[in-house]
Amino acid sequence: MEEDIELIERYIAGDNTAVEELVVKYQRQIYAFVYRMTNDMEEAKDLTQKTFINAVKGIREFRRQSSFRTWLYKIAANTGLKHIRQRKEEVELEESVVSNEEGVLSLLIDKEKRTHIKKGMERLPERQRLAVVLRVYEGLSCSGTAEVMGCTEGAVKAHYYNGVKKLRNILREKGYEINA
Amino acid sequence: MRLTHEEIKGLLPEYAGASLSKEMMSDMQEHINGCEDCREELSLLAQLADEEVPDPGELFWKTLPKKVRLSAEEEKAARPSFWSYLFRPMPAASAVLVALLVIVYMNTYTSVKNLDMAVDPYINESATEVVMNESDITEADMYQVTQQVIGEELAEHPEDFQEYSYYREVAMMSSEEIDSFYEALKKEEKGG
Repeated sequence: MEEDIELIERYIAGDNTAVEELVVKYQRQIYAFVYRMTNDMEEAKDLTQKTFINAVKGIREFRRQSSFRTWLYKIAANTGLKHIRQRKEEVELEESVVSNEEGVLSLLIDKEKRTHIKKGMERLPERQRLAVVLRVYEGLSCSGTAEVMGCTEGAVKAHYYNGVKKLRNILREKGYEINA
Repeated sequence: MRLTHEEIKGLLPEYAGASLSKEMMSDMQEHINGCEDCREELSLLAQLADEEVPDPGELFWKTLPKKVRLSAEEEKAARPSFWSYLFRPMPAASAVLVALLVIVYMNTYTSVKNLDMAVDPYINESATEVVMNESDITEADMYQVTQQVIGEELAEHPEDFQEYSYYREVAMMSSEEIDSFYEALKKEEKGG
């Protein structure tokens, strides 16, 4: 956190290379996060760049009440949500071709299941998807997720609970059993 | 305090990440072992976490920092600085107007202040109309004033202050004046 503050202060003082150091530090995390929100590599690359540019533009407004990482995730979440709303596309599940060979079959079923899980995530309402991504992929606590999403912990719990429930129902609809 | 089923479900991501206390992990493990619903959900979370994120390539990682820095430089250049604001037409004209008003005011104030006469070395206080108070004038002040006046008169009419000489006075008389003076002396002697 102190290292991040030092880089921010250097940038504000006029050292533009400090921005590069901040980007290098967080670019992989932010890319992975927005990819899981969009499931599209090109969109994820574009949104990652937009996230950092928006962060630099607003860096003088960073109040240091939370960590820089949380603040950056908040910007990434808002950038991703805005993009998803603008996209307004229905993501359709694709049918896959299954081979007769048993070994290949199980692999293909596995792959198909993962595809359905992935597509299932895309079908979640954006706030539920965001809550699941932050809790499961980013490993944030309820309070950390609430901070990024700008809502209460109760709302996070509700979004997360409903999101996971919907995913399970989608897989059941497709005939997949979740092996406990 | 034992957790409820719903509370445990809500903490499954932390359990999967092993980020809870030993005691809580143990309590949760005990519950999960006996709860199919929680086991299913835990399995789903594990599958979600297994999902790979495709690597966009080294070119992306190398160029992204530079792109963001260039954007930051453009944003800084576009932001109006104090000097660029100052040299815009309206603010510059306003600044010039304000400067003129200040100069006029200062000149007016200075003129009023210069009505005060220079401090007279022979008088203790500057002889302004407001400050002058006759009761403040002392004998020493009057002597100094007198000396100054005498000094000025001496400069203008030196003859008035030279030492008196009868002989000089007579030498300066005309012939008519001398005759008239002689007649007057004679009459005065006869009169007794």
